[in-house]
Formats: sequence, structure tokens, C-alpha cells
Amino acid sequence: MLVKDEYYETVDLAAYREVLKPVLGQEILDIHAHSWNRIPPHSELSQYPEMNRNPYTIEALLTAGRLMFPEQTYHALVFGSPDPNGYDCNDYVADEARKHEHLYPLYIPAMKASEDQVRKAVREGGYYGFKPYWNMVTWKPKQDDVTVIDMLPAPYMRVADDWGLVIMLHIPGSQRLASEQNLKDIQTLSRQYPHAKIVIAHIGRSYTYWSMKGHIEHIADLPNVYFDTSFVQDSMVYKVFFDHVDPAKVMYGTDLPISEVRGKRVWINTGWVDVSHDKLSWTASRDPQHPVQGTFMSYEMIRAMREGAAEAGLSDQDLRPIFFENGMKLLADVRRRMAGEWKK
Amino acid sequence: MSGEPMTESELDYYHRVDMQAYHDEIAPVLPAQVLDMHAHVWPTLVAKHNKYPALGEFKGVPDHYTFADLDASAKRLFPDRVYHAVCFGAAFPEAVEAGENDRIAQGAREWPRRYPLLIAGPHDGEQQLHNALQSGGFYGFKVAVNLETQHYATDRIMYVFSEAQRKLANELGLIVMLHIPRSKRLADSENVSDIQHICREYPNLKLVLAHLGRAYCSWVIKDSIKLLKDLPNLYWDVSYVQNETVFQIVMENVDPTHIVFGTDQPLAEFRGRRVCVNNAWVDVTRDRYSWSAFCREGLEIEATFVAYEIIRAMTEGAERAGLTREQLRAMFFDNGMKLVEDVARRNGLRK
Repeated sequence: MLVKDEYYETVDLAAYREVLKPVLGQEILDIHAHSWNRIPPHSELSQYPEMNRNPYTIEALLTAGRLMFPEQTYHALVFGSPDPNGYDCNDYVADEARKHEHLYPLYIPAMKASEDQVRKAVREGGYYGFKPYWNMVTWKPKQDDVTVIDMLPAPYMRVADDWGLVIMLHIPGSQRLASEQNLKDIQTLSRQYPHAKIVIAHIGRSYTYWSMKGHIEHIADLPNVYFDTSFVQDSMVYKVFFDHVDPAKVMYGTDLPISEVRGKRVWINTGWVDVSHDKLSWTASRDPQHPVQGTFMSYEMIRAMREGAAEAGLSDQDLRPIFFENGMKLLADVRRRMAGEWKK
Repeated sequence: MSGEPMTESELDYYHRVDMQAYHDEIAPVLPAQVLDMHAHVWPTLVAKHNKYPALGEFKGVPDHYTFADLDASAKRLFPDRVYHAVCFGAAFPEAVEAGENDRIAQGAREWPRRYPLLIAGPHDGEQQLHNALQSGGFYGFKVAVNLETQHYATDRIMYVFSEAQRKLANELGLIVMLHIPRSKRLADSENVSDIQHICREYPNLKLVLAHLGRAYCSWVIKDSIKLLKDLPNLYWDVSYVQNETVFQIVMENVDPTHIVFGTDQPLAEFRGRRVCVNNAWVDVTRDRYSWSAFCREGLEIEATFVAYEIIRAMTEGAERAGLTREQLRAMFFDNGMKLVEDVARRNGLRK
């Protein structure tokens, strides 16, 4: 769990004052946050072992939110960890969201549920929508073979369309937004389910801009497609992104807990690398006597967003709704449509 | 068959990773000849405050990097191009005292297409510098900078680039490769005013700002560029800068014919990239260097040469700034050779 220590006071808060304060209002909505209370037994094989092998409770999430955004009220669209073996923590997230007024849960769907089962789960859990993930498509073990349509079976999409729910969509495949199949599937879903709110997570996993350039325009103007900026830390991505996308369709997210890491995701040669202050199993770090003086990755996302947006001709004022109002409008619409449906 | 995992040889890695980047992205922007405006050579490194040392199990810059080594590097980096280099020793006062300039002059006489600069310290007298320039066939100065923490943080450009150096460089129309001091670099107002003063008072010297004024991150240059963009005898050496946004800023503001390619060899042969984290640069490398960030054994970053990351970032910056491919290509040879040839013509130097 994050703590207030000397490093936080001197390095993180200095960055907060310089980078975040000018652009944030009094409240912040984190549109992409994880929490889980149970760990699947194979978690040591995950991509970010130090982050994923321990529970990341709502208490830890709220502590991170308080420390990262000390002058804001922290809200979060929150979900568990996609796991096909029942460790998704859907119930935990829903229960905690009932206890904390600024948490809005998403449901990680099992692939084979019927429409009735999906409706029942959403009603009983008070969920605002779904967080599908490619690894739930268990019949296709290779990510490059999984399609967006595979991840979103018709029963889910019918419910999402009917109730205007949020779909937090982490697109599959190594080609990301440069995949014609992905773009085509997003267009298809947008057209077939016009009331579903399709949020493209991590701007289509565009941690660098090669996958976005020349492709983002194909989905930029779809009326029910939105973009979550979580974990994107490259100013050039934001420049190209804002050249094509209306800021009103954009929402800030952290991807906590991983953005507790102090450092930055960078591009080296043909792939991304996480550079960090602490020595972690998947990151590049320096000699512990002379560590990288990084701050939270959640801050680097905002730094990059502001730089790229400025290049695209946007001001801090233009960006401010990205941190609260844009996302809250979607959630308010879900709340309105679900009135009378959610179990009290 | 052994159960041991096979380790890829350096040669195989070179062909699989480096040459793929070279053929796909680097070679298409390079002209037939490449002028490296910023290459170090040190028969033996002399540095009291080496920022890049080998320490324990960690690698550092080589202790010995000869003209033959530079030639071998050029063949590795630019295998089908004719390589030229403006070259000089380690640019520290202590290296001057150790006689490094003599060895550079000697090597440049023996190797074709090498254009040496004289490392000049702040206390060298005008006559002494003049004699050294003439006897060594130097094309200009590489201003020596004292990397001792206090000096590096506070020295003014007007001190390290002494009056004697300035007068001579102006009189002879020399190239001056200037690595600016101070932590704020080009964002330091005294640095900016010194550069403006030098360019205006000494209009015949060719002031080349090494590493774009040490602008590895965009905050260094985004405001100061406006104050420096129109100086007619100021040139911009891109060596070791690998940030596309920095290149975009420079290329949108300065005359592109004033931008010259450089590597900062031997450092640019490291595999990795210099990135900005929390507004400070960090070298992220495949191999384990004492100052860099790297991943654990078994998860090494599949990086290529820093020299290629420089060129990638230049290419990207040029595209974003709307430069033509011809304007970009000229940075790799024509722009710098004009400076070299002008010095040669004025001073009767061999080319």
C-alpha cells in the first residue's frame, strides 16, 4: 500500500504541484482502476508479478487515490482482474462499491452466460457495465487469434445496448489499433449496439503511436465510442490522438495498481519497457544506490497528455473535463437508465 | 543435445536486430556519405570525473577507443556508407594536460576523412592555441568542460569558451563544438545570453551547440529556442538526442541547413535509448552499464544502437515539422561538410 514518506513528500508532491495541479479540478474520476481480494494460483506467471501476486484491496486503491490526488475527491470505475477460473472478484468489487459512495463497479463477464444470467448479474451487482478481456476467450489461447467480437458475446452486447452500459474494451492482438480486424469489429459493435458506451482502453493500447497513426481516425467519430487514456505516457501519442479525437470523448484513467510504480513506460527499438525507481521483475531499473528519480506513472500520463494536447492546440482548460465531467456524464446516463433495475 | 538454452551470439544479434533496424528505417534516410559531427577518440581515456565508468560487474565507456576502433564502429553502424568524422578527444582540461590533442592530430593525419578539433581549456593562451591549431591541422575547438560537480553546475560559457578561443575562432572562421554547462542547460538564461553574445560579437566563428544544448528532454529547449533560432552562425549538433519532440521543436524553428548529425561515439554504439522520466534523462540499455537502467538477466531489452535511435527520432521530428526528405538527408552530410570545407578553405587544411 502506498505510504506518505520522504520520497512522496519531496519527489511525488513536487510533480503533483507542477504537472497535475494546473489541470485538475476538485474531483477526479479514474475511469480504469483494478481491485482484487483473491489471487489465482497461477498469478506468479503474470506480466507484473509484484503487482498481481498480492491482493489489491479497495482500501489500497482508495489510499492510492488519496495520496496521488491529495486535493481532489477520488472517484473510480473499478473492476477486478480478468480470470477465466473464477478469480475475477466481481462480487468483491460490487460489495465494496456499495460501501463507498464514489466507486462504480464493472462486471468481468464469463463468456457463456445467457442473456438472462447477464441481466441478473448486472441487476444484483449494481454494475455499470462490462470489462471483457482476451484471456476469457479460453478456446483461443493465442491473443493474436482473439477478436473483439469473440470477447463480447451477443448476450452481453444486447444487455449493454438495452441499458446503455459501459464496455471497457482492451483490444486484443499485437497489432492493436493497426489491426483492420479490430477496427472493423469496433465499427460493427458501434453500429449494431448504438446505445452501448464502448470505451477503448489505453487508447487502443497505444503506448507508442505507431499503432495509432493512420488508424485512430477510423473510429474517432463513432458516436458511442469513447477513449480511456490509462497508462499512455507518450506525448506524441496524445498529439496525434487529439488531432483526431474530440476531447469530450476522452477520459482519464490510471490502471491502478500498476501506476503506483514510479517510473515511465517508454519505447525502445520495437517494444515498450517500463523504467522504474524500484527494482521490479519486469522493469528496467538502475543500481539501487542511484535509482531513477521517477514519480507515479499516473502522473507521467498526465504530463504526456498535457504536452501532447498543447502540441495539438488544446489548453489545460480544454483538458479539465477529461478528468471528471466526461466520464461522469457516461456514468450518470447509466444510472438514469438503470433506475428501477439495480437491486437496492 | 545439451539442455542448456542457446545464447545468441553478438554477431547473430547484430544481423537479426540491428541490421533489421538499419535496413528498414536508417539506411533509407541516409545519403551515400555520412558526416559524424561529434565523435570522440581516446587512445587512453583521461577523465577525473568520468560519468560513464565501468564499476564492478557493470560496463562503462571503453578505456581505449582509437581511430581504428572508430573506423570499426563506423563499419558496424553504417556498413554501406562512406563515413567521415569531426573528431576529438575526451573534452576535459585534464585530457589536454595529458597531451591528448597531439595524439588526435597524429591519428587524423593517418586516417582519411577525419577532421580533428582541438580540446581547448579556459586558461590556454592565444599564442599557445594558435600554435596548436596550426601544427595539428585542427578545424576548430572542442571546448573543454570541467565535470567536477561545482564547476559543471556554475561555470559560465564565457569562462569555458575563453576570450582567447573566441578571438582565434573568429579570426580563422573555425568550428567550435560547445557542450554547455549548468543543470538547466539551454533553459538557463545566462547560457542563452552568452550564446547570443558570442554569436553576435564573433560572427565568423561557427558555433555548434553539442547535443542541441544537452536537450535530451523537451523542457530544455521549448522556450529558449525562440531566443536562439535566428543566429546566423549558430549550428545544432544532434548527437545523443533521441527525443522526437525535441527534434520537432528544433526543426520547426531553426534553418534546417544549420542542423548537423553527430553520434557522440563511442557512446552511440551502446544498445538502448536515452529517455525522459520525471523530466530527467535516463539511459535504458540492453547491457548492464553502471549508470543505466536495464532489465534483469533473461529479460534483456531487445535494443539497437543509440545511433539508430538518434536517426529514428530525427526522422520522426522532421516529418512532424514538415521537412522534406532532402532537407533531412542534408543533415547527415552536406550541412556539416559545408562548415568543414569552409574551415579548410580559409586555413589551407587538407580535406
